[in-house]
Amino acid sequence: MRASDRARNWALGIWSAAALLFLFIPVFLIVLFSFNDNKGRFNFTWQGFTLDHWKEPFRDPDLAKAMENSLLIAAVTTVAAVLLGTLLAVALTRYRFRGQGAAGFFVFLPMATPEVVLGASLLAMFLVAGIDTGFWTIVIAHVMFTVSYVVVTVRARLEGMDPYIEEAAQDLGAGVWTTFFKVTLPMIAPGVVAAAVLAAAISIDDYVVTSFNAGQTQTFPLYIFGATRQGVPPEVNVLGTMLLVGVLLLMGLNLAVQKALARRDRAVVEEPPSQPPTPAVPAAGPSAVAG
Amino acid sequence: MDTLDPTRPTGAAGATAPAAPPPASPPARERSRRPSWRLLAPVGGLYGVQFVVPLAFLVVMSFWIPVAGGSPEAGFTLDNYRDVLGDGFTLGIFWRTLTMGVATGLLCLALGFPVAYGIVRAPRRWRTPLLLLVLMPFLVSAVIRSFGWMVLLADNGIVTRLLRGIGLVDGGLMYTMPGLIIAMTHVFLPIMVLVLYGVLERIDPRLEEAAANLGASRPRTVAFVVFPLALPGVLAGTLLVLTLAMSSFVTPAMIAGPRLRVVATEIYDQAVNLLNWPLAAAMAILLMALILAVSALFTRVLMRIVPGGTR
Repeated sequence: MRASDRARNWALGIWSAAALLFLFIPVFLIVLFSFNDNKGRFNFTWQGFTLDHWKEPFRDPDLAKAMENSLLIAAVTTVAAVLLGTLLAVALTRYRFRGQGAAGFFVFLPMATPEVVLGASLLAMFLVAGIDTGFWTIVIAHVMFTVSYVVVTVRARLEGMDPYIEEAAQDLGAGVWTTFFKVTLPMIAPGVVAAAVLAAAISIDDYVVTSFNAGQTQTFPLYIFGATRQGVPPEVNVLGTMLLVGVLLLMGLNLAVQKALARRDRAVVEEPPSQPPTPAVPAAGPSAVAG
Repeated sequence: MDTLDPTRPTGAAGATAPAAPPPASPPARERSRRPSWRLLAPVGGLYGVQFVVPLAFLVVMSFWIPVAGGSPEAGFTLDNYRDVLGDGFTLGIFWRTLTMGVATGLLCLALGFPVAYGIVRAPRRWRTPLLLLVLMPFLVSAVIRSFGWMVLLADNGIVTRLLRGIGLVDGGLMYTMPGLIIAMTHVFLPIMVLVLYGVLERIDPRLEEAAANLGASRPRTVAFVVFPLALPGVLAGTLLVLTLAMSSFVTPAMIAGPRLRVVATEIYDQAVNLLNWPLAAAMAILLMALILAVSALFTRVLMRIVPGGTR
């Protein structure tokens, strides 16, 4: 009995290990094949180790241009989406207005809508409005669906925050914008940073919505997708690996910023230990409802 | 990680501010209740134009009359819907999309549950690194990952040779349904693990200890104690993967190719290559309807299983 139990325990472990292996093999393969000394058009079989492709990753000018476009689009998208999304999140959590439920629903809708539907509907609109598709239509499309993720991320942070702090600032004479920049923004900073990372990652990766609205503009995912049809230069693996490392660094940076901000928050709270920070009544407000 | 937790109820705390008006400071309450249009108007307006208008437009367009090779004619016809629903070929595409989604969801569950459980019950300091490890493939673009699978599934690819060795398949796996489902499972497995982790983490380990003390083996405990408790998360994760898989485009387009079409690739083909926008719009709306129907079914099952919502 005990022996068979142990066997089953082992089975669970092996099953999990196999699943992890399954997750990693394709990613590992992409990194590995960036060092492949391949001869033909397709980089599908291992032929020997070389560092050649890493020396000149941007040998193909189209590939370099596509990468440049992707990074630029991601940068513009991130700034715009974080600006819009943060304000929208503040409006949705801090104010009561007519149609608030509908607004919340519409923010969520792009995340629930299939990407093909999003891409198609935007292109249909651009076509009818007579707007030529290209760089800026991609940016508009990306902002549209990354805003939702920004709102959700920032909102989660805002909801854990005491609204009375902002009211205190306003009672002391701060205007709407002063309160936002001096009080709200520093407190939700970790959420905003996380949202920016998320928006940038989604924008760089997107294929579907981009392909509908790209026109003649190439982005990195579009380039690879097209390349897999005629033959894939190993530089694609190199850039894919670089992108992976870049996103990992971004995530690491995000974690570091979160930790630093958390430390700052702790320092602020711990500085005046003589006074109890908030009166009991308002503090009870949010938790009472949440419970 | 907190913000990615899909099981977190987002709506509940949103009602905090107005629901508990403390009698102490009514003027402050009043002010914060008033909307600040300066914050909201530009955003709301832009958002409406960017999202609501195009989607509404797509609905309208699905009733327009297609003109071969040209821009569609404004009007009202149900022919586009009739063309989709009355045609065996397109119905077959919808059916394939549904079965592919279900298969991907179930396979993700089968692979993801042991992994999520293993991470939850791993030593504390190992949990975050392990979770990040599982999520890492998620950081690689779906296009690149699908490309990785093209290499693996090719006629002389590693996975194909492995499965051929066992005798599971005889030909190549590229452009076949099994190959597609394998690649799709890989794309969505991190999401499944993330959802299941969120649920499994909240299950009290003392329940498992109790089961063990009463003589149940670890697999028995998992099957009869942990799994039933995690059922809401299991259903939520499966539903999430299923709906995402049903609307995914990149992996089917790359792995399954033009012979094995799914709804998403067909919509793209109709709209961009054949310029039949009304038909593409009708398909897009039917795809959303199908996804909503599946979601509604799952929600009903969930309501049955969790009386009163224990979570």
